[in-house]
Amino acid sequence: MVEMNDLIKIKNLFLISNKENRNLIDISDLQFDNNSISVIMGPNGAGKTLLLNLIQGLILSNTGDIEINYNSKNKDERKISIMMQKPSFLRRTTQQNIKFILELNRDKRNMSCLDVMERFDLISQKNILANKLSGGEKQRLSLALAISTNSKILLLDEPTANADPYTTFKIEQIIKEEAIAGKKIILVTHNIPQAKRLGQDIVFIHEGKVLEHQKASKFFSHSKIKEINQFLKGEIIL
Amino acid sequence: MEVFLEAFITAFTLIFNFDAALFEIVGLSLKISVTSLIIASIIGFPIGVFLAITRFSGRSILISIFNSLMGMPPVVVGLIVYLLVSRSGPLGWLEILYTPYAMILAQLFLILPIIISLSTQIFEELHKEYKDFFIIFSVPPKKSVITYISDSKDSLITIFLAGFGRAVSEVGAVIIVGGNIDHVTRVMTTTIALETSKGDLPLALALGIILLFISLIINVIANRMKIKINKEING
Amino acid sequence: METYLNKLILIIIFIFPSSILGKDVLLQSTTSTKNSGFYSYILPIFKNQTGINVKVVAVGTGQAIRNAENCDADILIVHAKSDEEAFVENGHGIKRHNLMYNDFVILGPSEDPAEISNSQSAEEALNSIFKFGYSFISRGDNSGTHKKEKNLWENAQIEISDYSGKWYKETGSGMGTTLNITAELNAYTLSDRATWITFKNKKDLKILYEGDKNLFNQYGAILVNPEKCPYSNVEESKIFLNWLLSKNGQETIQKYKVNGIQLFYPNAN
Repeated sequence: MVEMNDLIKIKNLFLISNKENRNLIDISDLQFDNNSISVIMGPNGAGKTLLLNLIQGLILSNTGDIEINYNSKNKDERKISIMMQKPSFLRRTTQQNIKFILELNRDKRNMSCLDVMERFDLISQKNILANKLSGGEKQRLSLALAISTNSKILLLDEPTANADPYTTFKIEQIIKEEAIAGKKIILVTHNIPQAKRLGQDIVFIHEGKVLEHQKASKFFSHSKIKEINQFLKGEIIL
Repeated sequence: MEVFLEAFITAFTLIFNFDAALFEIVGLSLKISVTSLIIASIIGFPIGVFLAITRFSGRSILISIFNSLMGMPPVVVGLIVYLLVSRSGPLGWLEILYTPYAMILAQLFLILPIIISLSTQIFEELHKEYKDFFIIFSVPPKKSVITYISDSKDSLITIFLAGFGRAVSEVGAVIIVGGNIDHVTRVMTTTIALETSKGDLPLALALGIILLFISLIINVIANRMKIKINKEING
Repeated sequence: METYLNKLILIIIFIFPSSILGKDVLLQSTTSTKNSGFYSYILPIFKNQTGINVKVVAVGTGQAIRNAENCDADILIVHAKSDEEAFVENGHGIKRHNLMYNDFVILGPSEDPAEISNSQSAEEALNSIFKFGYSFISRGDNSGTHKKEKNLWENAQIEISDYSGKWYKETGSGMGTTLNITAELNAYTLSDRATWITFKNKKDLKILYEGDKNLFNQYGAILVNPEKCPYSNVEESKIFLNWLLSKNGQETIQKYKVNGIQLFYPNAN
């Protein structure tokens, strides 16, 4: 692997379950480099969402460090945005939600509300209450809000889970655009074809542990790990 | 029964003759109660947001205290404020005793617990929905307070009405700190008390009817606003 | 945020201009004088002549005196001579002046079941009520009227507090409220004449006994002592007091009539 500046360094990260006697997350060493689209995959309950939430800071671990080395001195960029699996919005219209986030993050390079709505194809929904949008529209809006914060790091949790094919296409397109523009994107998905389309490196998690972190091409063809091959074949891993 | 009939007739006569004394008294009642309501809201709503969002030890005790203060007897509040603003009291230098300002202060103390208690409950509900959003997008505190208040507008109207009702209908506090002075601190409720003590029961009742009528109008207007806002928020 | 607060303060000040402009005279007085309409009559006349605004707070005598002791008054007009003298002796007031008088009357149901109308004295009247055990309503609030009433029971050598809650009921309220209750229960009570004449809910009550020297009701006026109360409005209250005691003021008091009946008799000399 080519040595890049590691953007995110995770060491000895433990999260213990309150109810059962096991580790929800047990990662001794994991790094994400400065630019690329990293995809996190794994069976249900592996801890993918938990890992994203830990990186974002929504949850605190029991022990361990998550170190983030921003290169840029730009204060605006020193943020992590997350697009949650279940999106939440203000009790306002699509347009008002976007305006709210844009105002929080006033920046010279930021687009106008109209530009954002156009990019995510939400103009005809602009006066509809965000909570009344369809599943796909909600995911587009959720991504729009996350991107409007202008953060360097973008965490996406199943961004096209509820999406119709058009929305899936649109969202993937935008993800690629953002990556090219210099954003670091970490994406959790169940969708193996999507991972193949988007991922540059893949992190495979099973039962809270990282089984493999590998360049995409090697991951999908030459994985030596039994569980991964089972997963890629579509079998259930126990 | 005759008394009631006479009272209704008196009430209508007073209103349709644009009785100057009546309008002066009604005007003062509304000015005082609305002013204390506005001040109580400016102070109380942000406190409500704060209590709803933050967690600190003693929080639930504080909320319980505000809840129980809602039931504070107006006459006790009046007595306490009187002792504060009496010329021999700590705030005597303000010279607001027997002026509408003391009445506003007393009603402020009466309404504030209502505003804080009820709005905390409203904001707690909203917080369940908004908590993650506000953490993820790192919304600063001042903006959070404004947003919570703005997005709860319809429920807050109900709280306004509760506070207004409490203020405009009480007599115990305003009569002690206001002194029921003609043209200066005489409001609807203290006039009713005065006319009753003069034995003019039909007039007292007529004023009571007018007071109810005004409350009714205000409630209707407020509810209309609430429905309109509700349509905006919930479609 | 600051400009918003400033605007709010400005608005509040404009809404209530009258309480900011000028110094007024603050008078603590009794419900009996206020309810009779006396102040509504005399204060506008005084204002007309001098331009001075007098604000009246009417509460029970006990509360009026207490308020004045707290310096929440510039001048005190009540009708409880011994309390007034104590007020001056304790340094709260400058000097006690006789202002005006009227009398108390004993009211009761027109049928007069205790037969007090033939009594030779106020004590005898109360004695008849006591013997009959007929309902009597008392102010019970340490007002001038209440103190006079207690005095009369003492002179009749009746331990009246023993009967409190039975046929003797203490309302702890002003004259008007007490009259309302008396009228409702068709009972006996002691009232000052002025409040009674102007009272509008008389129902079946009538004056059944009057005229005893012991029913004499003297009102006194006292200026609050500026040494104890530095914030008091000495100048204008002095003008007010002197006016009340002057020939002009006393004649004005004499002219106050309700239904053709004079309510107060000036006796400043």
